[in-house]
Amino acid sequence: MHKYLSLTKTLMKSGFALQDGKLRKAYRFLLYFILLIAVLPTLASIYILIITTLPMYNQIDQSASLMGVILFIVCITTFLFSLFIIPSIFYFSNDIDFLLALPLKGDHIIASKFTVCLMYEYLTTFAILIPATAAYLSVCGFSVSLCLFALLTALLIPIFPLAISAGLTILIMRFMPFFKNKDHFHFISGILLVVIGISISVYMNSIQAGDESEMLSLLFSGDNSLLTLFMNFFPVIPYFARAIVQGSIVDFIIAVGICILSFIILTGLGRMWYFKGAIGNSEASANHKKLSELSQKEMKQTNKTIAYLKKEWRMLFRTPAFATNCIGSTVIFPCMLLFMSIFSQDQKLLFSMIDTIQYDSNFIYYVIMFGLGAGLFIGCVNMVSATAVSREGNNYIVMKYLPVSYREQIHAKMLLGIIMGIVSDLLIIFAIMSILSFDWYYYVLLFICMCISTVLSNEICIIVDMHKPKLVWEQEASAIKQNFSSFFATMIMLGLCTGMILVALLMPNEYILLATAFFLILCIVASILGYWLCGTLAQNAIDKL
Amino acid sequence: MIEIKHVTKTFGGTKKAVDDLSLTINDGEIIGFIGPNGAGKTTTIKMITGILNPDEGEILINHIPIAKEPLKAKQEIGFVPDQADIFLRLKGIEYLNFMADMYEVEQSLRPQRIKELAELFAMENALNDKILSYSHGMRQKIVIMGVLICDPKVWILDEPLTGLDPQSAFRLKERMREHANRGNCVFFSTHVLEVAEKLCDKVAIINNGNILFFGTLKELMDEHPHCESLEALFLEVIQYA
Repeated sequence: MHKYLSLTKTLMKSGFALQDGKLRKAYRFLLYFILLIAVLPTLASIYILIITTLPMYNQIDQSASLMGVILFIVCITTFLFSLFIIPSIFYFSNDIDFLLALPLKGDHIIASKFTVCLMYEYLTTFAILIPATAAYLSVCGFSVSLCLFALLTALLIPIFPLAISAGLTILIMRFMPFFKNKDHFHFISGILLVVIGISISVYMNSIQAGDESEMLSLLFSGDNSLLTLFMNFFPVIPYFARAIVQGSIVDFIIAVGICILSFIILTGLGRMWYFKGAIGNSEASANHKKLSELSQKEMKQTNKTIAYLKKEWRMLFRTPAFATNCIGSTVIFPCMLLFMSIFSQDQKLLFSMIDTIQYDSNFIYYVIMFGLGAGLFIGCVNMVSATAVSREGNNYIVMKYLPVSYREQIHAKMLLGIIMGIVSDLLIIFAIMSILSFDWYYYVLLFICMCISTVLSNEICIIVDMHKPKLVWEQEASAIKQNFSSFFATMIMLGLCTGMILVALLMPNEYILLATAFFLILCIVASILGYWLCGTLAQNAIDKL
Repeated sequence: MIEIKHVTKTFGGTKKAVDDLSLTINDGEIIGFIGPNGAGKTTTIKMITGILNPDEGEILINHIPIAKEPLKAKQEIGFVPDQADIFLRLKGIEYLNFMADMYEVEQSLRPQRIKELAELFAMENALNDKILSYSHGMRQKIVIMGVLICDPKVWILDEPLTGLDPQSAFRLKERMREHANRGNCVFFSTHVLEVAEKLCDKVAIINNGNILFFGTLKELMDEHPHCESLEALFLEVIQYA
């Protein structure tokens, strides 16, 4: 037990950090505070959603079913996150070879790594369950059993989806050698995550549209009958939901039993196959092509900026964590737009309404304002520029000793972000073209405006990143996912984007021309100044790293 | 030629990693930089290469002040860092070409240099693979090749022999000698005293950010005639500094 606790503590300390150790305490506190503020709207919306719907569910004796929905969200979120967390911690962490050589039981290693994964999952579990419990307490009145069971459920419920995910990962890694390559695994799991996300969304839409009569009969049969819906996915949900809402000890014991059983099965699987799968994990394969077969093209001389851009391009596309996060988001937004238009009846209605606005005399101004606003957000959401320096990690020193000016290096990095942003803009335009039928010149105008603000947004993002890059990371994905400065930069862009679109929508007709001209000129001038500014600031910022 | 003039670097406001350090490395010389862990070797090297800025003092590379004309000075330097995990997802050939582009090596020179270096370090069959697939020693070799392909005048190598197989280590040492004989200078850190003895024209011993000795090994032995081995010599210099 002592070894398990000591190992868990060490693994936690080595991996569980939002930012690197160089940050001052006050700044770190500020970051956590901003993070809390950022998630507050989500917490509030969960609270409001439950507080408004729970009385209705109470009337039809389905109050535990609503808790079931909340627990389903917890389980599915845990499962989705675990697709990345489990392989990273169990297989691709740099500690595995070291731990295997220590005098530790296999069960200790599996249990410690599982506990670390669990700790990561608690962040989301508590973020969902705290407002949900608060809403139940305010509607149903204070209850000790509700608080107690909610707390115990929050601690225990992630075990089941996590154990399933870990078990599947162990089987895959043991019996499918293709996945043992870290790059292949991250790439496939990245795509899988998007596919699962879209599938869930489509499935939910199809439930709403399809089995309405069946749903209604389940809904009105009372006795929390809706909970049976979750049995197929996560059998712990109905038992935990009843334990929280009805204070049922029997249900709680059954749920705990299922969790313990899932963990015992996992450790059994781990004993049999985890170590065989983890030992000899190859990072990359080699083809041993002879030097004479190398073409002249590969030795071609190029201008410094282009050569640097090519290097950045290769590193981005060949690093799965960067590719799935940066390139993935370039494609996801247009795809989401298309899916919304195909599967959602409400969205179809909205799009048909927008289609008629083109006959408004002010439509051209809306196009410009929307283009400028959307370009700001779409241009930076791929995080290419927002993580340009952070992605270097330990290699940032190469930036400092190369005989290339920081200005040129930063411009090359930013150019990649602008290219990816413009690709994203183009895909959005194509998605809009497939949904709406405006005259062609509106699309051209939209594209030009999006490009202008995409340049500006990349300039702002790279300035933020070069001043506060996250250079200390073990997993490449941390450079993007746990990068608070980049998240902050993206939020600024989202704020500006929303502000600009709101101005367009709320501005009185007589001022819309003036406002449009103002924002257009502002974006053009700021883009030109920004290009100069980020080159100038680079010298000081990179020097300080 | 490297001129380090009264250079000081402080970390965290109090800890002096390098304290009023002065050294002159002339053309045609190989200098071994020796010292215990945390003595200030890497900090000094990082300042020479422009990675860190000194708090006080000045560093000149071939008479060019690196603080005032960083690009011109860096163009003169080829640097092998102690950590060879650089751009792991580039192929070996792509890394070499990238470095050649950064140092503006003419295209006509590249195929011959790459062929020669690949043979020298037995990397002919590895250049088309990603650096990620290389062993530690191979990663070290590709970083060294990245410097040699650019043929800079001043070589600064931070523990370059770590992880190299005996054949590659021997060939690198030969190259270092040839480079110095052509009127250039080589400055490298090492923990292997035998290497310093056989390869270096002079050694600089550093501890707590101060240079304790700078000169030939013969001069050092003359100063400490009772020391029978290099280890004993080194320990005495460090211990009684």
